[in-house]
Amino acid sequence: MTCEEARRVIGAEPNSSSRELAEHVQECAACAEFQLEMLALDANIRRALEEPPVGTRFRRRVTARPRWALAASILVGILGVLVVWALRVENSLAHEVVAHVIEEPQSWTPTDPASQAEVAEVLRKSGLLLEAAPYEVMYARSCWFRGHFVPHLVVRTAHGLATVLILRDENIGTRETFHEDGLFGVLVPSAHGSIAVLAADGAQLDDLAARMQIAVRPMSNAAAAG
Amino acid sequence: LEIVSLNEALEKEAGAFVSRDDSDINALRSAIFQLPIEYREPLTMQVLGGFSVDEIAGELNLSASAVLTRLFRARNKLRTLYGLSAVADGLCGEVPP
Repeated sequence: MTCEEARRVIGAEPNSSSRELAEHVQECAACAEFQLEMLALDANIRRALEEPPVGTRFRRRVTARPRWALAASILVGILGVLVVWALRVENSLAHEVVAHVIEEPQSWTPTDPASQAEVAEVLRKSGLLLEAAPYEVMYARSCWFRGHFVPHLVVRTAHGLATVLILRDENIGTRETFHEDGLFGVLVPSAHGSIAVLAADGAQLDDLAARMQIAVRPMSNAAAAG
Repeated sequence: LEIVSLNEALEKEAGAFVSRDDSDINALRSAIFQLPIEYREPLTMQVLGGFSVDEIAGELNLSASAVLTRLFRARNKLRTLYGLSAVADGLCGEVPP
């Protein structure tokens, strides 16, 4: 695939899962950067179409202004801040997970499966074991995330590639779904922290998350030290 | 100090409350709505609706290659908004469904 061909594919489908494109962007930094630009453009398009226009929001506030409206808006503002504060930690976790995945483009396009030894070593760094990987692991790396090394895996499922981050030090209360920058994701609590699963297709996320919850186990202290 | 009516000031200076970031997004929104419908429709279906190329082709009664061409051209037009260079459009004409 030439750069011109790659850019046509990226321009039409920035999230394309084409193997040829994956191989090309892995070797071509310029096209990889172009793909990031296009993903960022898509994120802005989504934002532009999902948010109401600023002018509209502003005018709505300044036209009708009875005095009680000021008190009501202050009250609503306070409630809004409280709600945002309550949700802040988990929302920012989802956002940081997406940002991490986007900043590691080499993980999007793995070509060869990771060896069992590689996968085991990545999990060992976080004191974990993967008893029986539910799917073929195509990428395994131990990543620095929020002050800890976390296993960053990419697995091949029947629906395509999916990213799994095993967040042993991030405890969340409930399952949370998100859709950001073209990625669908779910954060689920597990017996050992939480697990984030992301993919371009949101179909199999819960199934994969459930399988990973079962497969991931903590190592014994002795094994972790070895 | 001069006493200024907050209401009047707000009416006059509405633009000052729009951040640069919001301006960019507003400009992009405006550009999206200026795109010809044949480009805007598949782009919003893909980006906002999460439709695949094949699904868009089915909905719009187009071939997949025609959808790919339209998506490419839509993004290429929007790229120029950001001062990014447009990609050479050496695409062939659309293939009928």
